[in-house]
Amino acid sequence: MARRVPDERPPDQVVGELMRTHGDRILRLCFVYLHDLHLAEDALQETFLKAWRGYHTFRGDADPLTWLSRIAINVCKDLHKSAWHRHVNLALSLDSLPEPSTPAIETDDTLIKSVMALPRKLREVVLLVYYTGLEKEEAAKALGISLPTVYRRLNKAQDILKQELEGWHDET
Amino acid sequence: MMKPEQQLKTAMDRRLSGLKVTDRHIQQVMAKAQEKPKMKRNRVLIISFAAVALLGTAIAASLPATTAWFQQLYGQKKAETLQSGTLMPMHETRILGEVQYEWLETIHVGDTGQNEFITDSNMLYGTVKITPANGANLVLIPEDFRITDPAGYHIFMGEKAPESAPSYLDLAKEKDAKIVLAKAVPHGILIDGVLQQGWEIGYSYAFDHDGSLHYYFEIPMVKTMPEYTILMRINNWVITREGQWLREEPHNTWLKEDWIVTIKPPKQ
Repeated sequence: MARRVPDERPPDQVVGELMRTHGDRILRLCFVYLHDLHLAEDALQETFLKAWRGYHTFRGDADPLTWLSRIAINVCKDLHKSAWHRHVNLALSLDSLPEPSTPAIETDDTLIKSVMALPRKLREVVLLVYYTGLEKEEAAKALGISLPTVYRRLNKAQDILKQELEGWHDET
Repeated sequence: MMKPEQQLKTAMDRRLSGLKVTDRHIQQVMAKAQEKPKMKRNRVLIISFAAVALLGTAIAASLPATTAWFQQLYGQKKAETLQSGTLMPMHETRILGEVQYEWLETIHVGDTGQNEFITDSNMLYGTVKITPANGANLVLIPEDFRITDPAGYHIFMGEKAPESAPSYLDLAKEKDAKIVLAKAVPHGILIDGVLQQGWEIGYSYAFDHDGSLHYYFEIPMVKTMPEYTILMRINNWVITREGQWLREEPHNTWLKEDWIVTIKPPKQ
């Protein structure tokens, strides 16, 4: 794969731009993973700090969102090791968010809560592949797992979501 | 029909549309990134931190390194799970350049009859200790850290360094030593006669206050076998005092090796 020419701008400029372009999606990814807005904001900060520090190692072979998602999911995994946020009321957690700027529909809550309730290992694969749009190979690399494991976890997650969500797969 | 990924993306971007990165978030990152490492001495803090560290060591002293680490990460229940497994002490060593890798032990936890997705059923754990070989004058640094980070503190896991804590760079200057980034991460395991590379492997690392590193690993879905053959990838390279990784010509210092080890459980 051809490498992109390294960005010569100072890291603060590049990271600021990355935050404006991809920050919303990274913040939402962290929230659904961690179930907590404040922790998600911590994870956002840590993700972009790591991006800043590691910018010299980002050679542009990957899409920036792929690279950032990879960092974010690992930051979330580290934060998740704290025991105290494991039993969060998902409904309350969603209610704590700022009002949506785009009108939401009732099934959005149901779907998001079902994803939030998935076991962590299934949830992280679903978020990387279905939400941030990583290829399955990229998700495997990001999580340090094999490609068959990604498929297996996605299938398992699909099975659970199909059971819980009437209309999963159907256009709403 | 809407594909699952479209359904989830649409729902999340709609319902979570109030979650946006603001200038405040960006300024926080900018401010944090430009914080300089604090170098002022504070002996009291060092002593109290050392006391806590020693206390932790004392509590964990009776446990194998692997069990102690996972206990620290996940708590007593996890430690009990590892203690219920088969401990295979090893102390196999390998020297790569100026770095010594000592594989301390491997622990296998067999089938607990629970779901493999979310439990510790059929897991293999282990620890490799990394030290300078033959008294080499090195400062070892694990991955993810900058040379200006406080040496020996796992800041990414919430460990707070006292203001006085010297950085890896400070130590290197003090000892007139090279800074070497060293790793030991399993890259494969033999299952049913086939080396499974890219198998799902987790790893983490920690420091000892003597400057050595410990790399810990966990490999899921490993059923009980008469022996376990693991491909451990060890590598190391020099980081200059300007923070540059010497991994490319003409100053390439990157050494790497696949260390294949077969471990047999002790006879009952």
